Amino acid sequence: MKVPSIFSALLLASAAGFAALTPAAAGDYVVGVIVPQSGQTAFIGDSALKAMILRAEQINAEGGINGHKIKLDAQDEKCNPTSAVNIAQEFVNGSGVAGVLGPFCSADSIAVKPIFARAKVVDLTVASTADAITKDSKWTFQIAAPDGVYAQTLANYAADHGKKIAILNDTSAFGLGAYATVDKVLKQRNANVVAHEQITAGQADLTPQVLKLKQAGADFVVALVLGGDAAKLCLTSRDLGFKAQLAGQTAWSFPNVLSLSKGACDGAIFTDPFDPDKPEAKSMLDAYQKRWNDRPQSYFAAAGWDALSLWAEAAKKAGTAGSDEIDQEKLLDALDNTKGYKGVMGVGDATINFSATDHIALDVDGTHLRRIQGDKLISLGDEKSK
Amino acid sequence: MLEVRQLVSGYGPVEAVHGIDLKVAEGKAVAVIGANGAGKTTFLRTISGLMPLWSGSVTFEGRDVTRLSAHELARVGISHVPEGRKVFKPLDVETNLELGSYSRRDRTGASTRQDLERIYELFPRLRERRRQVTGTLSGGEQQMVAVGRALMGRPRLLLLDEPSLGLAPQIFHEIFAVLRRIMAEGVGMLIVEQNVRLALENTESAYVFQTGKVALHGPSRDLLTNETVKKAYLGGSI
Amino acid sequence: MSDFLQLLVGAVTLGAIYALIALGFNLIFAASRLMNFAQGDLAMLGAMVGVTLAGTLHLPFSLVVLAAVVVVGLLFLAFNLGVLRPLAKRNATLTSMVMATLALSMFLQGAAELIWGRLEQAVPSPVGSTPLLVGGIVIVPHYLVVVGTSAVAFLAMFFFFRRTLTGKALLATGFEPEAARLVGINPVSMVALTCFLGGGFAALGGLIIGPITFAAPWMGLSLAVKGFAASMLGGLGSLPGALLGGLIVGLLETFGAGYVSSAYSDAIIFLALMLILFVRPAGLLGSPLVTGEHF
Repeated sequence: MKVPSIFSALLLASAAGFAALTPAAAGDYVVGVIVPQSGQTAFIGDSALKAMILRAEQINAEGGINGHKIKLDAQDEKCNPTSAVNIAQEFVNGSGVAGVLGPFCSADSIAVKPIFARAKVVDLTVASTADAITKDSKWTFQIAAPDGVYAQTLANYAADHGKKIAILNDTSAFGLGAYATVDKVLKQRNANVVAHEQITAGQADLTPQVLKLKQAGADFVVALVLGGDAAKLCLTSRDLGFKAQLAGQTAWSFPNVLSLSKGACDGAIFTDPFDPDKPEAKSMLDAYQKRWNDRPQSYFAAAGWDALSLWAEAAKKAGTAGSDEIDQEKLLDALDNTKGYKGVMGVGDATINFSATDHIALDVDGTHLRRIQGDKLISLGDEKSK
Repeated sequence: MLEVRQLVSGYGPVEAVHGIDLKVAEGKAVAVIGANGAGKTTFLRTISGLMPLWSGSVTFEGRDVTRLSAHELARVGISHVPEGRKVFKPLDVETNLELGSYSRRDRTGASTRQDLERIYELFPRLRERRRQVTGTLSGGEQQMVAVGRALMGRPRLLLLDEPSLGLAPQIFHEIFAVLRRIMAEGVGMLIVEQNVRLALENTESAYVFQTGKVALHGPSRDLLTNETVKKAYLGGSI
Repeated sequence: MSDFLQLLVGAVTLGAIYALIALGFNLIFAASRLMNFAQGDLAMLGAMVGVTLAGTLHLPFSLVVLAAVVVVGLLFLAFNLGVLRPLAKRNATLTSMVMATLALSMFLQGAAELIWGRLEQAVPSPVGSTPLLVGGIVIVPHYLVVVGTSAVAFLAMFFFFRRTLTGKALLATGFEPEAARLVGINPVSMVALTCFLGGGFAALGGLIIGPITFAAPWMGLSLAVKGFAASMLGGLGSLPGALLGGLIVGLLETFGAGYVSSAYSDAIIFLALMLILFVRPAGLLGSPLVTGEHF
């Protein structure tokens, strides 16, 4: 299992060598990508960057953007706002970029926002879910659904199906932010919240928290924790005989949740903006599998794919043949007029629509609930709450 | 048994000892005296390998030991009782003594037991305090532990750095009485001492150090009456 | 009451792990006065050895324990010989050597990411995963492995320091390095020995906590912080101190989360640490004779 991961890293590096990441030739459009490539969140960036490389290769093969080829300049944000800010400065002060995709981590996206606003450069954030991502800047877009949207879907489902609801979150920026929104929605719905517990991300033993949830008699747990902690929650709940419905956000679709929980997460549900059975998603995944010999179950590849596609659509309208640069005002204008775009992200017939005042790609209709069943992630379909 | 030739040494970039020649014979005690900063302690620490030797040579029982480091010198039969005693304070007395036998490659449980008995016989007070934490002992008792620890290595040469420092005279005499018994068994002794009278009264010969050089040397008895020594170190009180 | 006992089970298990990390930390400190900040990452490496040898290759657990201890012990020994010794020869201060261990920590984390990937991975337990029910208390069988392993490690070390001359020589080297040399103890080999043992115990801790927390390249930091807190609480360089400190940290963390608030369980640990250090600067079992000499 280990060898392939090194192998794929090498593969990615070599692919980058001829596909996208080499120094730009004259006349190329350089798209800056701010993406985690090391640390705990690197695997998120991995599939998204692969999808972007694949999409760039496709567009270039079809003649590029008005005859210009796309070059991706991917830099490691390390899920660290300082690194992300340095990269953003580099992008706006250097030889110039035709647009920016990323960052992925919410804190990074918020940190770089003023830089792109000041330099007037369009930024499509890829996997950042914080609610404040697009606030106060007309230059920033959000491809992933915001926490508020996930939380709404999740909280509504909880309110519909749980009699005694408990909330468990980690104390990271993600966990605290998600908790605030879930709490708000549950209060609005007058749901019966019987317990609220917090953990430190990566905490060794979840017994104290699970015991408290059990004591409170919770039958539905909204768990705003990431991959390994989600698996730990499933295992500890099973060991302590705590049989509530566990429900989380997209992080529960991370591949290691399934492998680490050894079946203990069976039946748990999570909100997701990705339906691999949708035709658009299917064709992307087929191409991805052909190119990278892998079929990601999580939404990150879809987000990377849609971010680059949306940029390319707008760039075609904003760019002029012969010019190496894309007027960012025109690019912004083109993006703001995106209507009815059927992306890989989103479920059912949901489309992506932007306007001058709405830079968020997906709303509640674009997300659904999936259930962990064995090693599969099953769509709940009709069970979805309004 | 110990022969030092043209020993040069110092600390950091400062040369403190400028070419010393010195000999210690079997079963004899030799004193090194001199003012503060004359290089006495540097000299002793260089011989036992605690400080780097810049040039010159040290021979012990016909063997060149110039390049040996401190723990190796302990193993060839040279024991050093350092200035300030440096006992292992948090450990009890017997453990301190046991550790003295560490240098002996041929040690067995029985030989250590036997050596401990001998030390307790020499210093009966240590037997009473054998389970006591060494840091809680009086200065004199700690010095006994330091000497006892050195003797546990069954040395043939004992280096003593300021053994009288901070001790009441009768305690020092008690310790020195023990050292005489050891010397009678053929163990040589090199003593660096501030208390010049004490040093000269208890040794066979002595070297007077002055700014890193040997200014005078000869039988201790003669130096006791030497006018220069009397004037400089004995305050003319003889 | 049954909840109290349930929490106690978890607390003692965690405490046993933290005690093992603190043990390695204290061993290295005892001989050389070096604070090894790579201790947590050496533990992580132990868990990763478990991922490969027990998880992928399905080797018997006793063999995996042996391999993890020896491999990680030798690795830190090599670091001592290849980095710390040359630094010492160039008259580097203890502080810059501590910085070198910090660099090792970052290096190990990066290397582990490269070799094992970035996601948490399972470390198989040598015992089954079906929880035992003892009077209404759930005991995961692996918890017994953790407590047992830790107990054996501590008993072995108590024997080593109380009954063997080498163990006593190791302590002596820490108390009075010069006097230790003068009785024939080679400080270089003593420090080398503690580096091997310290690395080995860290690996053991990481390997046996692996089945509970999973193994991940970043797991070292929290282990190092808790192990360090345990070491300071119990008394830096003290063997019983490591055991006591580890258990106290485990209890504070678990009961802090269970009875006060899960948001403050880490803060409670460090509040307790500050209070105890205020009253007893050398830690609960730390000898003032030791610390007074060196700080």
